[in-house]
Amino acid sequence: MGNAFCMFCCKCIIMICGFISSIYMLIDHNFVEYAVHQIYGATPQMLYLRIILFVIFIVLLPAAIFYNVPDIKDFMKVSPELKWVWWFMAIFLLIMVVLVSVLAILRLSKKDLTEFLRRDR
Amino acid sequence: MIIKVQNIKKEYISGRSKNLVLKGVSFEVNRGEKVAIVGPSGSGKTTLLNIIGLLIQPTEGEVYLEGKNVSSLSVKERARMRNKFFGYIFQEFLLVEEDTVFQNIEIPLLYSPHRTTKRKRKEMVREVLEKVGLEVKIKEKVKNLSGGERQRVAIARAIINDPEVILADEPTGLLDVENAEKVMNILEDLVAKGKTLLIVTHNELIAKRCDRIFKISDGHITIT
Ligand SMILES: Nc1ncnc2c1ncn2[C@@H]1O[C@H](COP(=O)(O)OP(=O)(O)O)[C@@H](O)[C@H]1O
Ligand SMILES: [Mg+2]
Repeated sequence: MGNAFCMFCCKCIIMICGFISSIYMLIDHNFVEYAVHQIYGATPQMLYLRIILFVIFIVLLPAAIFYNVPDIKDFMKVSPELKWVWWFMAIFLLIMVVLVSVLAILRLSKKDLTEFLRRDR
Repeated sequence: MIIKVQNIKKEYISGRSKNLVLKGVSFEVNRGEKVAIVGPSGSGKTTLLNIIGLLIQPTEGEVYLEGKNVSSLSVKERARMRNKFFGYIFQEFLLVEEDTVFQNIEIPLLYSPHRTTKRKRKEMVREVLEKVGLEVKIKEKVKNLSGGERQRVAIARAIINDPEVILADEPTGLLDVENAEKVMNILEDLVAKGKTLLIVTHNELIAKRCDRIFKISDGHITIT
C-alpha cells in the first residue's frame, strides 16, 4: 500500500511538472502576442484571465474525457463506496488549476512590458 | 493642442546603476502636426515616445493628452486610451508571426468598447488593408510577408481604431528606400486627413519632411 501510494504521488508530481513547464513554454512563446495585446488596450488582468481560462481548459478537458470512458463509468457505478475517489480527483484538479494558474501569472507579470520594449540589448 | 509634455524626467535603475535618460523635457504638439524626433541612439527617443504613448511611466513630470493630465488615470483608463487614442508603429513591426494578417489587425478591435461581430471586423480590416494596398493578403500568415508588407500590416493595425495620434518609432529603419517611401506616403496621407504624427527617425530626409524637428541630446530637447 505504502509503495503504491508513493508511486501515485510521483506520478502526480511528474504530471504537475509537465503542466507547469508546458504552460511556461507557451507563455514564453506567445510573449509578443501578450505584449501586442497590452499595447493595444488589454490590461494585465485581462491577460491573466485568459491564462486562467486556458489552464482550466487544458486541465479539465482530459479529466472530462477520462470520466466519459464507458468502462470507468461502469466501474464507478458498481462500486459506490469508491465515491471518495471522485472527490479526491476533483480536489486534486482544483489544486492543480490554482497552482498552474498562479505560476503562469507570476511568469507573465515578471516579464514586464517595459523590459520587453527595450531593444538595445 | 493635443499633446503637452511638462518637465518629463526618466531614470532607469538597474541594480546599483542609475541612468537619467530624460532630464526635464517639455513641449507641445498641435493637432494635425507632423513631428520628427531625432538624436543619437541611446539618447532616449524611444523612452520619450513610450512615455507619451502610456506604455511606460515617467519618473517625474506630466503628460497632458487633449488637455487631460494622464497621471491621474487608472490602469484601465490608460489601457482604454492606448486603444482609442494612439496607433503604434515599431521598427521591428511587433506582429504575431504565426497569425494571419486579419488576426493581427483585428487586435485593437477586440479591446474597443464598441463590440463588433467577426463579420464586421472582417469588413473593417479589409477597409484598412485597402488603404495600405494589401487587400489580397488578408488571409496570409505574417511570416510569409516581406518587411515592407509587414510594416504596412502594422500600420493597418495602428489605424483600425481611427486614433488621433500615430507614434512611429523608426518605422522605416529596417526597410529599403522604396518600401520606406511607401510607408512614409501612407503616414503622410494620415496627417493630411488630420491625424497627428510623432516619428522617430535617423533619416534626415524624412525629418526634413516634418513640420518640426525635436532633437534629443544629453537628456534635453531642442526644437527646430
Ligand atoms: N527598460 C530599460 N531599463 C534600463 N535601461 C533602459 C531601458 N530602456 C532603455 N534604457 C536605456 O535608456 C537609454 C535610452 O534608451 P532609448 O530610449 O531606447 O534610446 P533611443 O531610442 O534614443 O535609442 C539607453 O541608454 C538604454 O540603454
Ligand atoms: Mg529607439
